[in-house]
Amino acid sequence: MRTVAEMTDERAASARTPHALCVEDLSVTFRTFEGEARVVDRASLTVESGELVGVVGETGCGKSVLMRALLDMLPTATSRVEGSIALDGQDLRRLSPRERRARLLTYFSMVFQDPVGSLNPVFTIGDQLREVVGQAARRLGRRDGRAGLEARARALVGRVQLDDPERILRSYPFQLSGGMNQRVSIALALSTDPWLIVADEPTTALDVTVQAEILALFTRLVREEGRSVLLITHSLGVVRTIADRVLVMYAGVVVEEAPAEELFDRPQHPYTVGLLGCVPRLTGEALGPGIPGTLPSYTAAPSGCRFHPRCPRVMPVCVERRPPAFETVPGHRVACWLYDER
Amino acid sequence: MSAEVWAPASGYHPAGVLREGVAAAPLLEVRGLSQHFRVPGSREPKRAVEDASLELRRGEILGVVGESGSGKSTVARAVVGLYRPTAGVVLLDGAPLPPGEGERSRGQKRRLQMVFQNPAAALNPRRTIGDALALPLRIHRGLGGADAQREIVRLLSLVELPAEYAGRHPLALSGGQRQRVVIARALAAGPDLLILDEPTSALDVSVQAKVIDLLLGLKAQLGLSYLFITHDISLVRTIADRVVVLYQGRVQESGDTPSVIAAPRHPYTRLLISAVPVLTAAEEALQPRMAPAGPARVAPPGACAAHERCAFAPRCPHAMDRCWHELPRLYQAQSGLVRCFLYDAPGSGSPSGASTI
Repeated sequence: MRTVAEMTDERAASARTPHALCVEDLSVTFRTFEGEARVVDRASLTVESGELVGVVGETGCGKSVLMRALLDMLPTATSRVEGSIALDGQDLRRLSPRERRARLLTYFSMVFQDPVGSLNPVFTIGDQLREVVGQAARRLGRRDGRAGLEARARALVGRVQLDDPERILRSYPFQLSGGMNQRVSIALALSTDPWLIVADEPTTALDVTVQAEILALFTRLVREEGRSVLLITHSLGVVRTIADRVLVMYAGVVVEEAPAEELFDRPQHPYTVGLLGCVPRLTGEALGPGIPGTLPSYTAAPSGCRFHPRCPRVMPVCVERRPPAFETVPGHRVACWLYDER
Repeated sequence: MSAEVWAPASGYHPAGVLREGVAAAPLLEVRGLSQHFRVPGSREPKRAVEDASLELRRGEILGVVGESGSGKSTVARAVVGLYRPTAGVVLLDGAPLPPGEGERSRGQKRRLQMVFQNPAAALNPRRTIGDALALPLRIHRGLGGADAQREIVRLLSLVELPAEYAGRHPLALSGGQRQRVVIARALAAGPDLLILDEPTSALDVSVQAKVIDLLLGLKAQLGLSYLFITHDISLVRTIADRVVVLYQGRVQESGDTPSVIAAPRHPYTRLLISAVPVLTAAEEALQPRMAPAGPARVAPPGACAAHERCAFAPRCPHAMDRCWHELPRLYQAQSGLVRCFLYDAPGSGSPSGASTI
C-alpha cells in the first residue's frame, strides 16, 4: 500500500498539470423584499495555471458574491445564478450537484477573511488538519493510519512556514495569533492539494507586517508550486504587490481588467482612476477629491453603465446602453464608452 | 526656498502664532504615561502603555501609528480620561488635567473631544441624529429649544449633511455619514482638540478620502488640532505634521512625518514602512528593503522581561546581545527621537549612519 506521502506527490503532479478556469457572463440575482437585485452582472474572468488573479473592489461591489457563486456556496432558495463556469472546457453548472461538488472539492479550496472564525474553537489545530487530510485521502480511495495522517498534517504545517509544528498541532486556535491562524487556514486549504485557492480578503484582519508575510506565502505557492490563486480584496496595494492580473469591480460589474503593472501604470476606467486617487500614499500627495455620490441600490440599479450617476466623464450614451468591454491594448479591457474606437 | 527663511520650526502654524505665540506650552502634552491592566489569574499586569510621552502643538496634526496591541487606543483613552493612568500626567496648555474623566471640570472636558473608530457603535441606535447632537449642546453650551435646533442644523452643515438628517436614526445612514455625525457631535461641545481613534479605518478608501477632506477643512475653518491615531502609515504621511510610532506600548520613534518616512531610523519603523503594499514606483523607492520579519525569536537565557528590554528584539534583524538585557532610552536622531541602541554612538544620528543599517 502506498503511503500518504507518495500519494501526495502524485496528486501534486496532477495539480501542476495545466488547467484553466473560464467564467463567462456570470450573473447572480437575489430575491429581496424590494425586488430583484442583480448583485453580479455578466462578469467574466479566466484563471490559468500558475496565475495569481486579483479581484478588487469596495464594500458591496459583489466580489464576495462572485466568489461564492464560483464555489456553489450561495443559498439556492433566494438566489439565481446564470452564465457558465467552465473548468477545462467543461461547464460545472451543467454537471449534477454531486459531480459538481466532487469537482469543486478536488480542484478548489478556500481561505476566508477571519481565520479564527473559520476554525473550530473546540478542536486542536492537529484534530482539524487530520480530519480534512483523512477526508481527502478517503475521497481518493485511500485508507491511511493515524501515523500517516499525523505525518501529512505536520508536513502541511511546515509548508505554511509555521515554526515548531508539534506545538502548533497541539494548540487550539485561541492560543495562536491571527497571522498563525491564517497560516493554519492556508494549510487546511492546501490539504486537498487544490489547483486553485480562492482567498476572500485573507489579510484584511491582519497587521500590515503580518500581511506582508502571508502575501509572500501566497506568492510562493504560485511561483514554486505552480498553484493558481484567485484573491479577492478591497486593497489596491495588495493586488499590485502580488497579482499577475487584476479585475476591478464596481456595483456588480467588472469595469476593468488588465495585467497588474499595466493597470497601475495606465488605469483607464474613470472609477479605477477615482479609486486610485483616494488611496493615501507614502510619498504624501494630498488625497484626491474622492468619488462623488454613493454606491447605487441594487434593486434600482442605474440604466446603461452602472457607474454613470457618479462618473465625472459621463456622456449621453452611458445612460442608455451598457458599455461592453473594449480591449484598448492586448490584455487590457475596460467597460467604458470613452474607449469605443468605432 | 523662501518659505524656509521665515518658518521658525516644523511645528509652526499661523493659527498658533495668532492665539498663543510660538513659545507657548504645547496644547496637549502627555508625560510619562503608563497604563497597566490587571490580568485575571496572573501576577504580571498587562503593560498596555509604558512611559509614553508626546506633545501636540496648537494647530497641528500629530499622528500616532502602531499595529494592534501597540497601545495607541489606550493612549487616546487615557488622554480623554476614560482610563486612570497607572503613572504619568496629561497636560492641557501646560496645566495638568485630573487623571479620571469624573474629576475633570466640564470646561476641561469640553476642550478635548473624542471620535471613535466604529461610528455604528458610537451612536445610540434608538436616538435620532438630532438627539445625539442636542446632548453635548445642552451640557457643554447650555443650549436648548430653538437655539439648539439652529445649532444642530449648523453642525450638520459643517459636516456636509442635509438638515433633515436630524430626524433620522443612525441605521438609516451609511458608514461615512455616521462618522460625519460622530464628528459633528464632537464639534458640538466646541473643542480645541479632537482625539481621532482610527476614524476612517472602518470605511472604504473612497469614503475615507471624503472624511479626511472634511476633517482637514474643519481643522482650518475652526482652528482645531488633532491627535490622529491610526495603523495606516501612508495616511499618517498624507495628513500628519509629526508622527509617533508605538510598538508594544512604548514610543519607538518620533519626528516630523516627512523625515520619519523618508529616513526611518528604528528597525521597527523600517519594517512597518517596508511592509506597506504601495501603488507607485516612487513609493517603492521610499521603502527600506527588508525581508518580512518572520516568526519571533525566543529570548536567550537570562534575557530581561519584555518591558525591561527592547520590545522589538525578538523580531529585529539587528538585535544585539545588549537589546535583550537593557532598555534603550530615546536617543536624539537629527529631527526626532529613536529608541534603539544602534543610535547610541557618536555621529549615529546622521542620515548616512542610518542608511547603513
